[in-house]
Amino acid sequence: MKNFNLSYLPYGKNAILAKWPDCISEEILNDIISFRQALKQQLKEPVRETVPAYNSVLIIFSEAVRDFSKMEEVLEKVYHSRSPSQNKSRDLVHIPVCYDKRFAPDIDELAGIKGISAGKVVELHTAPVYTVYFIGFLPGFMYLGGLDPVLHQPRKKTPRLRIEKGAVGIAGSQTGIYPLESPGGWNIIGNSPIRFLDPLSDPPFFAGAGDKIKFFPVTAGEHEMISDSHARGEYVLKKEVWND
Amino acid sequence: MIRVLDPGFYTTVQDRGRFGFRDLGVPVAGVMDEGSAGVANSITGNEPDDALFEVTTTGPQLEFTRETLVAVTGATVPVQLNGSDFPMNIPFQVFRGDILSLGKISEGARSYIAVSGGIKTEPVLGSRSFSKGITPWHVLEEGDELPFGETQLLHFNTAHHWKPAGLDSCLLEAYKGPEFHLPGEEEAGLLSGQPFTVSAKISRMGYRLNETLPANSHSIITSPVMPGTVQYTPGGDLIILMKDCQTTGGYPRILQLSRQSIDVLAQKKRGDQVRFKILPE
Repeated sequence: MKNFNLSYLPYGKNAILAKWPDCISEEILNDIISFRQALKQQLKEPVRETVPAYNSVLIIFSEAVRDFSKMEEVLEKVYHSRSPSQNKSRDLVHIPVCYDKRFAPDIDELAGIKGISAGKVVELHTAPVYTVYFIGFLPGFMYLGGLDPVLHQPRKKTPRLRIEKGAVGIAGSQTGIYPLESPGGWNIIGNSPIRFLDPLSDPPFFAGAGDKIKFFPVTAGEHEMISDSHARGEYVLKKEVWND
Repeated sequence: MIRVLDPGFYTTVQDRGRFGFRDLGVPVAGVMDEGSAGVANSITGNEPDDALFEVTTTGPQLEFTRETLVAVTGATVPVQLNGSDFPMNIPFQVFRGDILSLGKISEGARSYIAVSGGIKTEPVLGSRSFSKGITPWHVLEEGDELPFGETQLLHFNTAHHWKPAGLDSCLLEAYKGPEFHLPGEEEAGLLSGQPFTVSAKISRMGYRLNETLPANSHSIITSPVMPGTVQYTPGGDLIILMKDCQTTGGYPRILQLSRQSIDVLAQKKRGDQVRFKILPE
């Protein structure tokens, strides 16, 4: 297992940011997952929570860190005693998306810029198995890797004041789903009828860092049906075991 | 029950926050001015984790359907019970049918109403703090009915001389953030040299300041942020994240406010001045 050279940066009195080299890769993602697991199992100091992102983990302690350099040593020791994510199998979650024009205000423009049809945009967007790098920004917002380079497109110059809940968008090399209504500058190409974060179920979210996502197209009618059955608590997301 | 006759400008239920779900993108939320909220809970005999009302700009009008003890702390605000004036920072009894009204805040930005026994809306992910997309409510509305706990009338106290930190001080003490050195010495010097003015773009999510630092092209790979993080945008804006902030961000994090300084900022409103004092590591 490759050991990265981590840097540990104090972040306020109660937190330390562990940072990997400045790049986005599945290797770093898996290393972050292993490190968080080791922290959970081994760190004796009271940790409130750990928050992962692409190439960093924020370790938030319940109390002020008195001796930063000593804590840095402890963390480095935990890092070196981590075990690889043991070929841990991940979930592959299938998420329905309606790419119908009424939900996709930017699909024609995007297709035009790329010189392809709207149908081809859908084909390219539903083909990959995306990787969940982490969840941030909004409750249940997944940072996904794996968007087809043909679909890479900068944010819109003027952000919209209101993007619908469930909107599926593209910004730069990223694709994502807005779990809540929000302002935003993403190019919107579809909408998913599913509920993203359900605070009352356990676990409250269907995916975590390292899991896989695949989109499948549904019609406007199916979108409505899924939305209704979701509201009644009857819709079950299709999940399967994914082995790397 | 507490019946909301008038919600006021922006009233929410808050406790100390929602911890353990930031890796799902769930904001911490919780009271903005922990000091004032803590005093309100303490003088009504509550536990520090009990939920209370946070009031902004203009207070609500609340009817109580049973007897309890209440106290108001934080930003200076007129308090009336059934039309008679009552003092802040001292708990007083309310009876069935009594109507508590808070007027317009005159000094500071956020007041707290603690109810003995604590507000007992259903906790979601371990907290009662209102949060958009997490709790069924995100702001109090007319007609809402909120349960509260059993009154601990035996334990109460007063805090005559309590004054929120943010009413007297404009000093924001901050630690160097993870990207403090990214902008360069000159920009770092500008931070502690001049006063900054709170802009109109302020909310429970964050405070944007009027004065800017030089525009820049610094960005980082999206990484975690916290309440109290000072972000430095490419346009040179400074944004201080507050309790409802997102969990990750892509702007350099140049400073991190101390807990007490978040309390100070929580009492600032548009046009108020603040200064940064950078704490040694």
